[in-house]
Parts: sequence; C-alpha cells; structure tokens
Amino acid sequence: MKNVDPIERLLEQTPLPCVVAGPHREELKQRLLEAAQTAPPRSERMKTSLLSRMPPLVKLAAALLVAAILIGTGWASEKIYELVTSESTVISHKGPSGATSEFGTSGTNPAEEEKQADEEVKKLIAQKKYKFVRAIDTPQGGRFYVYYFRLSDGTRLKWKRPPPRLEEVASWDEYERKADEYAKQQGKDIEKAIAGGKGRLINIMVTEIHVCRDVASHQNLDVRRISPSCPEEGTQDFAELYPGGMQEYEKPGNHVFKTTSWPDHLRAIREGKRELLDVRFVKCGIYEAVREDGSKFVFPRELPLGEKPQTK
Amino acid sequence: MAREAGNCEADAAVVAPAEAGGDESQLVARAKSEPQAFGQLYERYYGKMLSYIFRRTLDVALAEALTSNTFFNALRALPGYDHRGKFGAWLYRIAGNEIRLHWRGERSRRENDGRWREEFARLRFAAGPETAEDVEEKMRQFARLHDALSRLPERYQTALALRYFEDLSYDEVADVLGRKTGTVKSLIHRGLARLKRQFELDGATFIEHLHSPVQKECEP
Repeated sequence: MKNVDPIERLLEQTPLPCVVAGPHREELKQRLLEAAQTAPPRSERMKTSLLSRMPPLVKLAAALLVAAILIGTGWASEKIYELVTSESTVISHKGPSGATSEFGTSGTNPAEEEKQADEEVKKLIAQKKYKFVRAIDTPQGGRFYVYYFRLSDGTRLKWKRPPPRLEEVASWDEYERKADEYAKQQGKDIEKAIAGGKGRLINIMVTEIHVCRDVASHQNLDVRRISPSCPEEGTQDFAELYPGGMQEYEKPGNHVFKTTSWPDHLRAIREGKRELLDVRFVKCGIYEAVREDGSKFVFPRELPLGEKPQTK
Repeated sequence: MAREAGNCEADAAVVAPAEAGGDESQLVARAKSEPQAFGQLYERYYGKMLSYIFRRTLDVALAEALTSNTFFNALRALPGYDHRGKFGAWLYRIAGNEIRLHWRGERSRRENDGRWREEFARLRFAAGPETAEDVEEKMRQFARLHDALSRLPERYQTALALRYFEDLSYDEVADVLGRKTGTVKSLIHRGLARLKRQFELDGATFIEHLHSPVQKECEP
C-alpha cells in the first residue's frame, strides 16, 4: 500500500513496544482454568436464567416495559439536559464560580447569586469535590481545563479555566496565585518572542463583531462571535456580549461580559430588542515561537507582530 | 501496510508460540465445555492482548489487570459466543471495553505519565538483542505518539490502534467495532486528520520525525 499521508506513515513506522510475559501469565491461566472447571455448563446456566423460565408472553410484556422505561428515561434526560445546558443569558465574572455559570435567570439578584456561588465553589475546591471533564487546547494556543461542580441547589456548574489544574491546588486562593504566575510566565514568553522577532505566523483568524444598541437601555453593545472550541460545547457559535462596548470591558476592574448563543443574539435583533448598527471584522494573527528550552508555543497577536497587543 | 505486527511476537519469551494450524472455530466450540481448550485459546491470545492493552495504556501493571478482566469476561460470555466473527476480534472488543471502562473512572490520568518506566525491563521492540538505550529511545518515540493519540475521542483511538498498532485490516477492525467496513474507513480517515491536527496544536515537534529517513520499525 502506498502511503501518501505522513501521519499514516508515522503510525506505520513508529516502533511498537511488546511486553515480555511475567508470572502473571501462568497465574492468570491457573485462575482461568479453575474458574472454567467450576462454572456450570451452558445448558444448566440457561435453566437457571430468570428470562429463560418466563413464558413467551411474559417475555414480550417485559420487553415492552423495558422499552417504555427507556423511552421515558430518554425523554426525561433530554428535558434535564435542556435545563442544564440552556443557552439563556450567562454572566461571566472573575470569581471562582465565573466563566460559564448561569446566574440571573431565575429573577433573583444576579450579584447575590454570584456571591453565593463563589463561596460554595471555594468550599468545593478546598474539599476537592468536582469532576474533571477534559482539557481543551484552542487554536489560539490557549489551554483550558473543564470541570463540573454540583452546587447545593442541584445546579451543575461548568467551570472552564486556564492552568493550573484544580487537582494541583488546595484552595481558590492558591489557584488564583498559580494562574497569575502561569499568565505572567506566558506573557513573558510572548513578549520575549516578539522582542526577538521569533514569532512565526501560522494562521490568521477573523473575528466578527456586531456593533449594536440595546433598545431597552439605549446602551451600546458589542457582540463577539465565538466558535465552540470542543465537541462538548455543542455545534452552535457563542456570542459574547460586552455592554458599553469592548472599550468598557478593557477598563480595569470591569471585566464583565455576558454569554449567549449566536442564534439567540440574532433572534434578539429580529425581535427588535437589539439594533444592529455596524459589523467589524478583526484580524488576529496566530504565531508560533520557540522557548529557550526548545519547546514550542502558540499565541495570538494583532497583525503585524510587534504592534500593540490585542487584549480582546 | 508495511509493518509486521507479529515481529515482536516471534520472541517466545514475549508470547506463547501460536498453535500451529488447528481450526479456531472448533477450538472455540470445544472451549465452551472443555477448560483445556480455553487454555489453548488463552495461550494463543495472551501476548497479543497484553501488548495491545499496553500500547493503549502504557502501563504494564494496568495492562496485566485489564488482560485478566478481558479473559475472565471472555470465559463468562463464551457460552453465548456464536463465532460468526473471529474469536480474536471478539477478544479485542472485550479488551477495548475494559480500557474504556477503566478510563471512564480515571479521566484525569489519561495522558502518558511515564508508568512504562516501572517495568522497563519487560519492554521489547525487536526479537533480537537490543540495548537499554535503544528501548528507551523507541519507547519515548512511541509515548509521544501515544500522548497525541490519547487526546483524540475514544472511537478514533480504538480504530487507529487496531489498524496501525495491531495491523488489522479494515474488515477486521469493522469486525471488532461491530461496524461496516465503509464506516471504519471513514472513521480512520477522520482519525488520521484529527491526529494530524493534534500534532499541529501540540506545536508539531514530533511531526519533524515524519521527514526523517531514519525511522525504523521493530525489526524481526
């Protein structure tokens, strides 16, 4: 077979390890043979099976009952999934429960909900009560770890944050400290690469930004379109909503934006809740550089490299 | 495919000598009632399963544990086995399920964390003599490939491992996965594309090996 795909060639040519059998092999064989000798023959097993002793009509009824339970469970699961993964307004903030948690949708005070959730998430981090879902490497060179938290009111909170991993920290404060160190180190690597002119352009990404006005509040609103970064995030694009425009977001202490789905944003325009004023396309270069230890990393910067960094 | 999958297995210390000849379906039929016949099937497949699971987990102790589970599950399910497909394919399927079940409980330790070093002396690449340095270097190479592969969704990992590590044909992979051959071809094609992208996302350091003419596979 002629190989044209280099990855296929790599898979075919990488040496394959084998394991020399140890004492496990004989031990397992003995255990298996003993188990095989003590296991009842097949015909006997069939007789003892509950299902085999049932009359055909009872079997049919049981099958129908199982099917009904499965359909019911599937329906209920779908409803629960819809509730949990609702694309309604999400508020992100810098507290421990931030990122993609859902607040302010139940009619209560969003700030109060955030505060409560922050406290609860801090406790859960200290108690190590969370579930690791996966690591995501974005095309822009970022790495995120996704976790699920189960809050006391039953809400499942999806937590997507940059390194370090939660397993490596004992508290939220330690996480914040290490995350800061990581970000600073990353910043240093990038600045060093830019200063040394070592960034190699490997991709150009174009981001669409809708410049809008919220009809009810007359406030300006920038809406940035974001593609899902992993299959778990679904297939719909997200919309990041920046009240007052992106310039407001970049002011110190004001890093608050809302997230909704892109179709929800388009629906809001159609329904007259938002007025679309303009559209901007921001080009962003994706660069690859090499650290002093020889490892490579990827980072986003405005074009051309060396200009003022684009923060959002 | 260029690789000779059985090259490591030519070493009698690595796996038991395969039963020469013998109709496997008859052996499987006998194994349903005769423990000794199951013992013969075990001898035939132990090495293959151990190495397959090791290549998927890079942990010898874990590979042994999952190999035990695989054979015990096979023994339990043997009375219902209808030998329409090949027995080996059935074992691969059980082993794949065991690997999946294990990772489901331990998602955080999915990437290679160097556990292969714990049983380094038991790792081989060639049937003939090898220096420890050779084994170490080849193991590092394989671990890098394993790292990238382990970040793909499970279905791609399994399909690519069966095709390229176990040297199964598309039909045989389809038999293991219980899918149509065409589906398996497209699964592998997509898996290769995703693996390529994974290397690019990782900084593509390993991809440089692609252009190196000194790549050698496990020699018989």
